[in-house]
Amino acid sequence: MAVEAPAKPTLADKIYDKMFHNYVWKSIFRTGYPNTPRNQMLVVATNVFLHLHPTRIHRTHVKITHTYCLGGLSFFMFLGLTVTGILLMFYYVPSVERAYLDMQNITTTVQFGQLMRNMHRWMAHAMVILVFMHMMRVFYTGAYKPPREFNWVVGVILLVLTFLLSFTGYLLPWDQLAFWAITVGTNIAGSAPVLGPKTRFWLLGGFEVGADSLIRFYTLHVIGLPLLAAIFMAVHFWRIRRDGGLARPL
Amino acid sequence: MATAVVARPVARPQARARDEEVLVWPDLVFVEFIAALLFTITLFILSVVINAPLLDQANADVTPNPSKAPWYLLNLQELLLHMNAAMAGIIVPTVWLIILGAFPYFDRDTDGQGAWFGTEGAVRLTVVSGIVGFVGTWALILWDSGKVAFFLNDWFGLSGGDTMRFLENVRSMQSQLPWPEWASKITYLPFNLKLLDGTGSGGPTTFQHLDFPGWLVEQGIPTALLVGLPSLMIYTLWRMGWVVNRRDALLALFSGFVASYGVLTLCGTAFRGQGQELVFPWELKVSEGIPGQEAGH
Amino acid sequence: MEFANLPHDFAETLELVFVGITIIVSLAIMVAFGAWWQR
Repeated sequence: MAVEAPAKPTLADKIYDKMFHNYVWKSIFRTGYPNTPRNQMLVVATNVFLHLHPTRIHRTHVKITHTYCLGGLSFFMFLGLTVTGILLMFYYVPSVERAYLDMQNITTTVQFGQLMRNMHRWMAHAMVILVFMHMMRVFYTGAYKPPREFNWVVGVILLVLTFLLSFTGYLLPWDQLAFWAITVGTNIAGSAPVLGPKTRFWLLGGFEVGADSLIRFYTLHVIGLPLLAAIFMAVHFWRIRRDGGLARPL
Repeated sequence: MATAVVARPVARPQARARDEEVLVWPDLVFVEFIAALLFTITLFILSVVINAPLLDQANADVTPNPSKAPWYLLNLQELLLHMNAAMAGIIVPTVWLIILGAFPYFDRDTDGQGAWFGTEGAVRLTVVSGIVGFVGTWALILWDSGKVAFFLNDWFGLSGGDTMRFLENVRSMQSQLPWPEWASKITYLPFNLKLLDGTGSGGPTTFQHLDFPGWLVEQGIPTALLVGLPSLMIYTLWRMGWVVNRRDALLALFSGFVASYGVLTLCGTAFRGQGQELVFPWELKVSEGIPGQEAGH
Repeated sequence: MEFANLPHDFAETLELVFVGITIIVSLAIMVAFGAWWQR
């Protein structure tokens, strides 16, 4: 049988070899380029970020019209909010004297400050909407049925955490919109029977929305609630894998 | 198999169908990447074009009119206009969240899972419950704002005179009916029961006297409607043969909830103007509340 | 491009409306992309 002799390596092949087959590169990326099924599975299974996914997935679950990527997008919004949030944190101090001035500073003097602030606010609204739509998708595809019952409960908890994150963040600009919206919101909380007034006092750090409320809401917003949300998201994602992936027809 | 699931006390994950599977890389990862990229781009464009609002600095002495909660709480603020504050703000959402969390423990039948509207008649049930929720919520809002009586009078010249005034809105049942004196102060405990010394506005919750007309208007009727109307809808659908199992009941309940949630939020954000008056969206006006300045600008 | 401020009286309503429109448009583009890519 005549076997074709391998073509002589071109300059491009040699450069590629030097760049991507050297010791340093291979110490970082150990699986090789994912253009074979073996490498494609390995790259998912051995990467800390990607191994959230299984290596193979039922073909109905890659269809956009099945999930609309809503869960993934909610998580992506969370990540985007964290990034823009951290950038905003460089310029914002949660004190009554500085908060509003910092906001004016961010929206005028700081380079790309206005853009970061806008993105943060729009992504915040988007996250609440996307989380709600994700809940609708899970419900209408019956993906809460056994064995996924507890994951639905974790999802409801995440919904509440999303609302709380948005609520605590709403106060931080310390403008009239923020101040009075939070006043209305905490008055609603304070009307609860028996525990209402105490809960409102704990939330606000006092009887009225003031300096103590601002630092309290800030702490909850930047570390307290995100940590809680991260923990529950970890449970949520883990449970999906444990329950056999996304729901599919029996 | 389904029988194996029934026989065991705990449901097990299904066996994988390897021949039905595709590789995550690239098929899923690429789709996720496109989705993330797309949303980044569109939200970026939105951020370039439209600014997030920043009003005057917070001032406890100046109250804008209307004062609204953030949009995802506007549905609760709308409820607040129609019933007792504790009910609207705390009890209703808490009870609903508990019911919502209990969905999978109520409907354990795995029939039809994994596909959109997997069960028979699911689509029409969703649509019909959605419409009922939408129309019903609007009707209740309009009635309680006195608009129904207003329109009947304005468009048809119908008026019940003074005898029918108690039907104008829910509050009229307290103010327009000839309640006897003792009905506003029915003592049901021989002592004044105080639970947890209250701190802050509102004072401690005390239990001794019952203001019956007030209770009826603020708690009795709202509770009856909130529980009774969805139950009535599901019962009617069941008698019609459209709701056959627990999944159908949940479909109707959830779709009705989504529709009413949407209506309450929409009404709260676009139809409530100064003094929380029901207005058309183009008539919205926000007054800064600065003393001495004209309302709105 | 100039940043635009939302009209004062309708600020909160329009915030929600614009984000909602953005989400729907993005999802629509995604679905169209899916129909083309995943034929």
